[in-house]
Amino acid sequence: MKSRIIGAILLIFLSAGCSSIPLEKARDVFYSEEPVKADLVLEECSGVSKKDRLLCYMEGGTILHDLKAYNESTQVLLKASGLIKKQDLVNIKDQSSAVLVNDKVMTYKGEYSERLWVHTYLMMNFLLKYDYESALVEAKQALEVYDEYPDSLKDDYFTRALIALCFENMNLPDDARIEYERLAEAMGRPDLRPGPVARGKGELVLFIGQGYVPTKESIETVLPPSIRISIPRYADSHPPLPVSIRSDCKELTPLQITTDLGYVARKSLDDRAAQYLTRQTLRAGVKESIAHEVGKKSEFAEALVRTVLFLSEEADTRSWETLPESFSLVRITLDPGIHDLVISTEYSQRYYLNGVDIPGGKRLYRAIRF
Amino acid sequence: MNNKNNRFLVMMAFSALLIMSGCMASTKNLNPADEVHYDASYDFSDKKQIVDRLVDPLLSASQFFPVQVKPILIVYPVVNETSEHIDTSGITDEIRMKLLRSGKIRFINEHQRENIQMETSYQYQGFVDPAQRVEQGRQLGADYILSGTLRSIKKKQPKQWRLYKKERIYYSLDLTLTDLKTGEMVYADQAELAREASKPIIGW
Repeated sequence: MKSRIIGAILLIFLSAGCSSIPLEKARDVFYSEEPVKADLVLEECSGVSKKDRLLCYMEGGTILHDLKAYNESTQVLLKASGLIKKQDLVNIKDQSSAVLVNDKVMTYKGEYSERLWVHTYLMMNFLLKYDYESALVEAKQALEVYDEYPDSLKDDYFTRALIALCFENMNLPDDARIEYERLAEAMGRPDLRPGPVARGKGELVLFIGQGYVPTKESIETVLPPSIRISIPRYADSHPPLPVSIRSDCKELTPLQITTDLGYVARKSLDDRAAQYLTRQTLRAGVKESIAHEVGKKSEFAEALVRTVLFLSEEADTRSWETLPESFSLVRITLDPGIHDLVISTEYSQRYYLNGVDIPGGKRLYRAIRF
Repeated sequence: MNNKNNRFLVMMAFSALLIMSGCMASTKNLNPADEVHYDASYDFSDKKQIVDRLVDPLLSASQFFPVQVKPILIVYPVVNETSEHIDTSGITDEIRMKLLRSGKIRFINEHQRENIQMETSYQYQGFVDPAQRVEQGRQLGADYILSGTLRSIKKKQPKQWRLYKKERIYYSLDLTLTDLKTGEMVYADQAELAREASKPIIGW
């Protein structure tokens, strides 16, 4: 009996340690600034365990977007969007394993903010391909996520501005106005509504991503006799810095709407705290009673079980790691024709957009990642 | 003892059958006319229903389609303003097909414009017998534009203690006929669909 319990615990412990190796490999390649190989690694998410498949799709979507493979990125992110909907239920199998081992054994469903950013990326991809109808579909799905988690997501100004832009493109000015009003209220600023593209002018719309979103880390607390509490939290990050844009040697002052993704992600995780703290408390109780039960028969076995249960306690630090630290939506009105632009940050990073051909009376989209 | 063994064997066989039936792949043909909905979202059964509801009244609007002169229509793609990725070209094609089959209307094939241009240009490049060349400048001009918009309103059940999540979706397809000469909207109609679906909150 004793050996069976120990065997089962060891099995659970081992399975908890299984990681998604292709996902880690892809991230490593991405961070080493060789993203060309990353899409190959992520081409098939089949090597990734089912519980981490959503992460694989999300990471794959970002990497492909940064490679400017917008159609491929869309395909992968649509899979992510479908999976989020499919996984939107309380899975008894997941919950019971989490109560015995840790939260990492559960299927990753994405933080509230990450669920929104799947639609944000899809909107950008569709806009970059001038597929305004599909961008509008994503805008409406993003609004559903906003409605579901209003407090967690209200500080994502970038996505809200993107939604408004999607409405503008489909000639739905009333819907766009409502989104601009909500945006102005959330930002505490006066009316942010940009006018239509002026006659005889064109508009350049830039999606600028800067840096890397903070990753989750584990906060550890140990209570006697051997209760270990591991809570996830996002690492600290710096507030985003504004970008400056120069066109043909002139400094421009375009409309710039920025979201601090780290801040929104932190808020989303905090708003979910009740969920993982309840599970943590329940787990501590279950683990303590298992150890106690084993201890009735052998002190040695109890010590062994306590060690295994202690080591198996781990915070769920999984997150969408290839996201930028901030996203800025920049809208620049320019004369039709060829322009050379320099986009720079306060960290002296520069991006040259040379030979941008602005069409008269129309919008041109570009995505940039620093 | 024998009885016990028999009961055990029957139970084992029953379990094996249950397991096997769960593992078997199956395929069956469906009647496209049957209404089948797995959730509240738009599906192929809706397309047929919504198109039928719009096309029949349009065809009976005899003032636009006199028997002696068949008007020429150009159909613009139905605009998708829902929150789902719906291929609305299926709706556009079905509307066009039903109207064409009525024999009361003629259509311009706007999808083939580039190909028509390419083909006629080729004929004038000296490869084709001059007697067999298509005469240029003889294409038909449309009298009316037929356009439509598919919209949806989704409402989810508010958060509360429940075992099922309910969702209501309302779809509407607006169809308008615009006189190309005057720009006047001469006909408008709407077909609606409303549906409620629920899915469990707890699963395995």
